[in-house]
Amino acid sequence: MIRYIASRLMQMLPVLFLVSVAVFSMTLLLPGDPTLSMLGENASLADRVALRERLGLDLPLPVQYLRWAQNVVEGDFGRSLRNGEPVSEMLLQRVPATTQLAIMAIILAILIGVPCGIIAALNRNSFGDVAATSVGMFAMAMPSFWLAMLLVMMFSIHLRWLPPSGYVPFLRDPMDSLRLMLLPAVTLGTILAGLILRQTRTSMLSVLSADYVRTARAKGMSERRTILRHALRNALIPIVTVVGLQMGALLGGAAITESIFSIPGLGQMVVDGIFNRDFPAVQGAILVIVTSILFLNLVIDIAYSWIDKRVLR
Amino acid sequence: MNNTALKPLRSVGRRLLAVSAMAGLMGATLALPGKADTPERGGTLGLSVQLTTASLDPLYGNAAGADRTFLNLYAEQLVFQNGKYDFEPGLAESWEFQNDGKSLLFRLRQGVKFQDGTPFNAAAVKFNFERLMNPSIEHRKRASAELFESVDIIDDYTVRVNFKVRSALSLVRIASAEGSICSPKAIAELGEDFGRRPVCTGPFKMTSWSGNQFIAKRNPDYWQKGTDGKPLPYLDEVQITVQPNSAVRLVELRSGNVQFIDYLLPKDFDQITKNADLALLDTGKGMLEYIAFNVSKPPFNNRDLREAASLAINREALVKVVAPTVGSVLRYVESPEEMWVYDPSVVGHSYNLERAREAFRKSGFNGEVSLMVIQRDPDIQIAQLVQGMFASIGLKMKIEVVERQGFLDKMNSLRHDFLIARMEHNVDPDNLYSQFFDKSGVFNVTGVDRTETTRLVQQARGELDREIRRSLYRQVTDSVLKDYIYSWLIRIPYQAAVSKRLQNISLDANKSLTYDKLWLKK
Repeated sequence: MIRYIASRLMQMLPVLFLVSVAVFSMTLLLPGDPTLSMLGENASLADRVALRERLGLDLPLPVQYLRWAQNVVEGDFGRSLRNGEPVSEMLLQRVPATTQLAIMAIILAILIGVPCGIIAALNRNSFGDVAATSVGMFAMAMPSFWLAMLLVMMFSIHLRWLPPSGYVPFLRDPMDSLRLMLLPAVTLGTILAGLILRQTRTSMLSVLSADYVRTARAKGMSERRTILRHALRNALIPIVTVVGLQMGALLGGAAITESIFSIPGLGQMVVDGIFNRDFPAVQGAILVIVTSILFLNLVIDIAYSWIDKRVLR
Repeated sequence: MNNTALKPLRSVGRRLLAVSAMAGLMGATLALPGKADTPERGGTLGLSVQLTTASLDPLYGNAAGADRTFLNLYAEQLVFQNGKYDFEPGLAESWEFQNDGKSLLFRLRQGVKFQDGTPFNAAAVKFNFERLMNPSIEHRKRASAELFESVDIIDDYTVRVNFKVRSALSLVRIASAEGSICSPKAIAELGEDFGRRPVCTGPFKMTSWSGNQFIAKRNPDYWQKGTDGKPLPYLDEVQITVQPNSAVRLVELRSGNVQFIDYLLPKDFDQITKNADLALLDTGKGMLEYIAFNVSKPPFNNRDLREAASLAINREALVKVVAPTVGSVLRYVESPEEMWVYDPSVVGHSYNLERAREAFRKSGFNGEVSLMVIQRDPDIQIAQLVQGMFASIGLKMKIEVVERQGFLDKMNSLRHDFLIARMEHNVDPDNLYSQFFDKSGVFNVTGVDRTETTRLVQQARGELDREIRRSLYRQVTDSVLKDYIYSWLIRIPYQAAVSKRLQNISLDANKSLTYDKLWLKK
């Protein structure tokens, strides 16, 4: 197992290198001038040119890349061009926020999606199955912005149970943090639950008709044990794949939800950075997102091997 | 020194003091429903605002209006420019022009402390202005710094600020962000981090800036006293959240999470007026939408074509569709009505289909023009309406929707036919007039020779008398309207919305909230 993990870690290095080159080049090739967002649109051309020189933005792209890569290896992601904040500090604030949101959303999605998917598969074509599948499809089709606003209208404006937005780090005040994160997690979790429900149902249907399930039942094993020990375990790999992929997407792509609920997360950092041509912020955030996704994939692969030992062979 | 020449200048200073005193008596605060009489202490004020700031260091902000929302919490200047564009004493108790208007003498308030406990005095003022003037510091107020020459300490509480030229902007700059007086000790000790943890004299101390959230706590040593004789401010804490989405800002206000939101869209006004707990707040600020023709190349180097396009636009119709009930036709670089330069007699480009058709025929143009707009509302909506209006005179037009940075890139390199953009009035008309009509103005993106308007704008800047300046700006306006280089479209006022619990609301010249006397009704 250790050798397996080590080899997977080694494979990450060239991917990270290629990603870093791509991210760096793409951000710098965007049209527009970061000095406009730094100095304001009223700044003179001379001031902007001087600032470009000071920041080294007039140097050839490979030189800029090497400088940046060297600093990143030393742990220095530079400072935000927009507000001068060290990018590493921005990341330290934003990674916990995004991670907390992603974990809460995915737990919620699993808690809803997996049991509903199993029940739907066990009662195929029943009213419950049709209802669960339809609700799942509706959840998947809902735009997150719309669902978020509906939840806020209901729970913040009419019932006044939960605050509509805001963020408190979990370690500073766990209860307040969970309260603030509940609506965004429900927004994302509901949508993902639909996807997990569909996947669980399909996976379970394919294993429920397998020979080993029939054998287990023939041996007189209880239905509960047959489903949980034999059927679900074999149906888990595609479910874990979907959960893993969605977790990866949440780490980098929850910008809309983060924006609506004023969560200072990575997705919002990337979007703001792109609009303001804040290159160091975008580069730092994307590098962290890609690295997290690579590690997540590793965790999923380890989970595969735990579920099915044949993966290691 | 010629004392006779100085008399009118001194009287300007006295007049300003008199005006400010009057404004104070009349109450510069806005009349809001539910205005209570006795201020209550305590509570946390929440604001949800559209724009963030680039830095909390007063010299490193890059958007005067947006920055001021934050700056008013923790920083103060020697003089304060109020919502009527007049000057009031701030950290200086009084001031007077000297040296033919090239110097300003300030008598400073005593007993004021910075938030780190160090004293505010003449040395601190000199330190801050010398930091502004220091060419080796690459701050973002370089244009303002160019005006300053030196600072003389007369005694511990009297300073003279000398300027390179006599300028109407000298007092404006002193009252602007760059005139903020902050703790020399904190500036020296914190270095770059001063931009995130500023230490000045304001009513609140910035305690946290995390992503889009800013928290400021009451400064217990603030120098101003409330009506109860105790130190201001009344509030314990202010929390500002930056939320670019207007729908979300509105939800935050309606849920009671915040008590103030800015940049309310006209379509949402109803939701505020129908809610008994909320009120609209007319900030007096507005978005001025205009068209700028690029005359450096065809097709709009053709004056007849520009005239045809300008006269084909039905601005009343634009107002009805884009900003019904609140918008108005924009006649020129129009200031808010309460600004001294406002001129109701200017006649802008009027809708005249017959004249437009005639000018179009004379232009001999039969191709297609391309209108560049930023991907945002209401610019795209306006562009679509203009497209229909042009069709009525036979002028074919396509719309090129571009993301903001790409738009600026193309605009600055004059690679467009014409564009729709927007502007806002600042605390002094020089801001817009110099940016649009001075040859070095950053919004002078039309490719036109600006020798005459540059002269007029610069002359107006050198005058301290507002009536003279007003007449010079009028000449600029008339000259620009004749050329059809810009086509002014509509004005959409910015409304903020507030909880009726929020009392004693007062805005500065940037139309940003001032926080020292604000209080929340329990």
